[in-house]
Amino acid sequence: MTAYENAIEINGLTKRYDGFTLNNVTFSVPKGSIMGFIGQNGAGKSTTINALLGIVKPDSGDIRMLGMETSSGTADIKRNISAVFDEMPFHDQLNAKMLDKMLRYIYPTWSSETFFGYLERFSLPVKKKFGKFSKGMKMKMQISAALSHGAKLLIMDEATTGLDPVVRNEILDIFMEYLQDEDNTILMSSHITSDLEKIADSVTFIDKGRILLTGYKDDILASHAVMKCSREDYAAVDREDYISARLNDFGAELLVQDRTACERKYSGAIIDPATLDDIMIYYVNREKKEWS
Amino acid sequence: MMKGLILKEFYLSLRIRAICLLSYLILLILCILVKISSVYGNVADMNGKDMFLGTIFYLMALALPAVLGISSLSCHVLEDEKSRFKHFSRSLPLTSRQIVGSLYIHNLLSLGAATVCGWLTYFLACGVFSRSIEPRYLLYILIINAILFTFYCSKIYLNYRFQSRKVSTAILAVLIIVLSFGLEFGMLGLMNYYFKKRGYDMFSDNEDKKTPPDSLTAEFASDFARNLGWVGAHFWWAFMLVGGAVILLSYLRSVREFERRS
Repeated sequence: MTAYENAIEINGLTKRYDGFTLNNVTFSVPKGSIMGFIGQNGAGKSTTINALLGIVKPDSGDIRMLGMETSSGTADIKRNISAVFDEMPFHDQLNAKMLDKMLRYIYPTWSSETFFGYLERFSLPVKKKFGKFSKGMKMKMQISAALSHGAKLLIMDEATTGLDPVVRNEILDIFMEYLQDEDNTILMSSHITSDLEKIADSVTFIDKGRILLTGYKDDILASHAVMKCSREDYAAVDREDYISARLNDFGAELLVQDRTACERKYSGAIIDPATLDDIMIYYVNREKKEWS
Repeated sequence: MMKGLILKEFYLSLRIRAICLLSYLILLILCILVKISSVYGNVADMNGKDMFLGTIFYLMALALPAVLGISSLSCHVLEDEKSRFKHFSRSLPLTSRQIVGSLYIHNLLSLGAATVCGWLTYFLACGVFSRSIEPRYLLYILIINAILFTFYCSKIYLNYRFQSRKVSTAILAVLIIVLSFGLEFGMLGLMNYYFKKRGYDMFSDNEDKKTPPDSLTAEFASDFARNLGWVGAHFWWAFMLVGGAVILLSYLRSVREFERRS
């Protein structure tokens, strides 16, 4: 495998469906990092991930993964990536032992030892049918399988959605361990931004099929802020200075994208740090500009 | 790498196969019990001939292997879609041709195993009913299973195409009915042509000419069997070619449908 800087490079990815277009999506995920791919339901996260995995064929655009063009080195790439979906894609009649045997033949680098090690760690039964598993158990099973063939890139589509906080924490710990190897990378789509706030190095926001924002999480959180002011003060704020404003009985809350400049310009206003959740909500409402 | 997916198909069909195998064993034991019972004079022959036991022999020697063949076939296209395994399979280092091909190979291997078991059943039937082994029966079992495989390949394609077991079964049933009627009418036409040349016409209003004597019918049957044997011996490759073309076409169309529906 050739040396590469970005585990994923997407350039101008476009896919048109009836009623939805993934429009010119461009972003990259640096090797050895974890990127949070954030957006509300139907924003285009799954379509982007499906295009990465070769599940959907893009209308245009280039995708490079692990330093290879997806069009030319599909099998090589897929041997080195793992996908985790929001629902377990294994049949209810199967069990962990059967899955181990199946995947052993599919992935040349499959390690049964690693797989059963994860099962033991997650306290998952080996012979119990998947149909009798809880949602948390199914997700743990998927993750165990995904991490047992030495994949260099883990792509997750809403993997932690619907799980309780204890299970989510357990899974996030595993991801942090996985990232101890500097060659490993994670792209994690989610609308649970608290998880991403905990572990992501960089984030990409997508809305209505377009990338709104992409970059290092700390930079994004440092530059954005929520400015709180009265209705009168709000009237004096330049529309270019904020993304959108939430109006309430007590005044207005605005998401600003240049915190330092706003602190200088509006010295009387209260400026609080923004969370990824705030950023997502205010960006989603950017076209309305004002909302309540 | 396809081994993994073939293994998946095998695991998914384990339950239904266990049921079929159990039914097969019960029928096998029943056939053997009937023969044992006849040794003690408990089964009366019909018309003073060995007709009843003969029927049981054919049931055991040909029908049971066919049952084995049918029960060895399985297709989990719809289950793959439902469980989202299809989605997952696209993320595996396998091509669409390999993913779809694994289903065809699994059925071919299963049917191969069923054919061997069918032959063993035939040998057992010959042993139990004290009959000599005729190699042509082994060929019949092979032909039956080859025809089954050809039809089943079409069914796999129909499952990919329509994503509905009911629709694919209905289409296949209509196809089989049309083929059966075609074969029957073709046979009648051939018979009538044969009889017409000898002064009889099955569709004539003249009652004397309408019904050929039994000897002529037997002669036709004998000629037909001989001609069929000749066609089989000289043009077996044509049947294989047609069967192979159907299988290949079903496979290629299945791959296309698999990709189209992604």
